Amino acid sequence: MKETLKYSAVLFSICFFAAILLSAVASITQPIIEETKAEQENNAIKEVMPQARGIEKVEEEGLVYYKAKDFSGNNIGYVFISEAKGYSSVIRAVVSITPEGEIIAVKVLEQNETPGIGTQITEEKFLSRFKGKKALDNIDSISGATVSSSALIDSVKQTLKKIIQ
Amino acid sequence: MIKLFKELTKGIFKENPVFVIVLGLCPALAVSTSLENAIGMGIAATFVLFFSNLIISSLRKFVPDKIRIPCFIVVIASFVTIVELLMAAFAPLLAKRLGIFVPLIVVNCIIMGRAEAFASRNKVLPSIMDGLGMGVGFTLALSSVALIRELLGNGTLLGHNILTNFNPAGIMVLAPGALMTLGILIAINNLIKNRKK
Repeated sequence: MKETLKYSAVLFSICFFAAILLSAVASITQPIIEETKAEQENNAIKEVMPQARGIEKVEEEGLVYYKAKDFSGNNIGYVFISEAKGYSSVIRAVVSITPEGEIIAVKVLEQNETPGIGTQITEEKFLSRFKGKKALDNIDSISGATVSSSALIDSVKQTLKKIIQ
Repeated sequence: MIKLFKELTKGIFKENPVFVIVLGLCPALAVSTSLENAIGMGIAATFVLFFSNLIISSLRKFVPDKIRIPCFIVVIASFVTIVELLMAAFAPLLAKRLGIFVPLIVVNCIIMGRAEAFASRNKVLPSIMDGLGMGVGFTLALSSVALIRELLGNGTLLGHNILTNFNPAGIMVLAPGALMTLGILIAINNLIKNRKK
């Protein structure tokens, strides 16, 4: 009995100090982590929609997308983020479209696919296939990296369809 | 002084955690696809090893033998979480690429092994040296595997194109390439060791 109490006290004190240390580190790093995340998203939007002067976030029916405007406030298109389960990771890509629903550019934000194979989806050679395509058009996948590339294609098309509706 | 120095260098050559003790192979094989990932992983593991050895050896008289393992795990997991948070804040790209392998440092058997075999039985200073040496040894081993794999599998080093007009051997960045590279490096290490005798 006495031993059990002693063990609990030792373990408790170690956990207590660990918790204090961790909450201190977390409170320092949390704002920085959120800041870099927001910054990355902003940069990504700018990259696929460089002519945008104002960006407005729209949320409806569980969909989140951004309305891009030029300096006089005209709508020049939309930007959205698509997510797909690839071969070994979740592929997140940012897509910009014209008001008519034509794809302007696609850029992969996050992926952890097989290096040298699945990672071909981040190359311009593949991403340029999206240019000018609409939701129902065919886009060729990469042979040898079918799973990664068709996952990206499908998710872009699905999200595009939803946003047009 | 000489003894302390020996604790530091033994982890690098004589008792290299990857090539000689053959521990911690999971991250060594998974993360060594590029040199940058390997160095990042090595630094993260060295940080955890250093601090977990420091804390565990200073607590060695306070922690009863029967509950030492849960105590070690709490200490190690705390430092791994700290590394994870720091990495996400200051090196977000690296954190993204290493992904699940950062939290998995908790179960890296090198760290648990050093806590159990060394830090819980030795004074603070030798334990710090041991942690540092093992960490550097792990980093060097990971980097040498990654160097070969990135060069042959992708034709690049740290993202720079080194081999132009070269058709990368895809197998080198996949799991078989990792195992073959590691096996050959262990063999070379053994060869050098046997020559010395």
